Amino acid sequence: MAVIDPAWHDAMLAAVRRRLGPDVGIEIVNVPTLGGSNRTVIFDAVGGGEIRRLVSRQTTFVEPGSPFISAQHQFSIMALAASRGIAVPLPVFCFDPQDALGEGFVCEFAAGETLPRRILQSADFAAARGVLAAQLAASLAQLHAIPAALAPELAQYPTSDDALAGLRAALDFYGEPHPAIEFGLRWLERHRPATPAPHVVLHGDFRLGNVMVGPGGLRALLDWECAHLGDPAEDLGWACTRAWRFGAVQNHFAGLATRSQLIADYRTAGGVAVDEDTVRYWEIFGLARWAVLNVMQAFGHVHQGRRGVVYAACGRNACLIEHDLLMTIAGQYD
Amino acid sequence: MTDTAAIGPGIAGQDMPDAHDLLGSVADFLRALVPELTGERRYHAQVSVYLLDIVRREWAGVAAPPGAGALAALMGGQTQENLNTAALADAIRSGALDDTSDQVLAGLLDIARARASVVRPEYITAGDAQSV
Repeated sequence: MAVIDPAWHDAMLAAVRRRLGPDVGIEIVNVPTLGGSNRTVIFDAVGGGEIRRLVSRQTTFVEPGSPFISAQHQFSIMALAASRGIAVPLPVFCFDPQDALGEGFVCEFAAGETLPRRILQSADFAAARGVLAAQLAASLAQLHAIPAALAPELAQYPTSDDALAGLRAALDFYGEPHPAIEFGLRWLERHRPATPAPHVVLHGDFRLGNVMVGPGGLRALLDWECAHLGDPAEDLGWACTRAWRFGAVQNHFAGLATRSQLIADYRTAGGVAVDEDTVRYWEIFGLARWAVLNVMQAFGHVHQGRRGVVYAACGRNACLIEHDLLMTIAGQYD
Repeated sequence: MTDTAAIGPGIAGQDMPDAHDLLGSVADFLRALVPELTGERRYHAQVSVYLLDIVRREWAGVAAPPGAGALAALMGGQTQENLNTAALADAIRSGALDDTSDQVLAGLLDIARARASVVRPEYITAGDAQSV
């Protein structure tokens, strides 16, 4: 467990007391630092004979070129989703300047498992696997029922305007030429879906790894830092992107179910009708996007001081994703 | 390969073990350490071994993929050795290579395979896109 800086502890204690009461104390539970863009601290707020387990999510990617929405907007979208009955960790408070904690927020803790391979393979999640695909599809349908007008704060992000142009701008910012990604972007430009799609609230990073799962199935949708507005099929396609099948490549949807099963479950739960080719289109977009995100991590490592072996590996892994992108365009992968 | 010549064994007149051996020794040490670690440190040690193995394969040298030559020919006036990646990226973006997109795709795939054979050789046969 990473060590907690005493100054941070005191700042968080003061921030919690301002919102939850002057007699509340905090006890650090864990600092799971596996995420790429946030510092996450799990702690208990203790007071009045009650223990409330909370999570602090503090933004660590503060340099230019971040593909993530602000912590304040993550907070407001989580609150909006919660108000519509979508399972999310309930937002508690957003940091403000008085907190001196930078950008971030505190939400309730959701217990369970996030590691994809454990969810897909462990006997502990056998029952969960029986229901998870349909539950995830239903959550997406619920989320996509939120019209863009209810989340005007998301309109300012480039990916909300035109996902493809936003991705291209991101790649340009990192400044390393990637002909294979360009080939993907050009293909996407030439094969844009003909039918105009509704403009709705998207999770933006909907996949295993970003959902909390218990033995009985889905518990909460996490990691809202890529939320934006767009075509609902974009979320479906990202969830089917080859990178997120975790070895179970025949189960396009998160390694759990086929693409057509996802589309059927999504429709049953009230989602719009989506055809398989449109989902495939967004899977190709997903591979291009995943490649760009890996270039982004390498850029941070080389040029922005966000050093680390994982970020370094991301840069070299870009060619693996480019391989899958090209193989999918070539029709060799489905 | 020029880089290999600059870094490779013997050139700087050092005593044994050579640089490949030093790298392999550190990788072996880290590999043995992994089971003793937990959580994020274990993960980072695994990734470190992964990175050292990339360097080891990169220094061993990889033949230029034939696709690079084909792309250079499409770009006109360029050779496999001086294929200008930025110019190729621009040409693809502008649509100038749309008419030959099958050949471009084949060439790019060749290059991606060659790079993947350095980064993670088992990846191409496993056909599976994962982060480390």
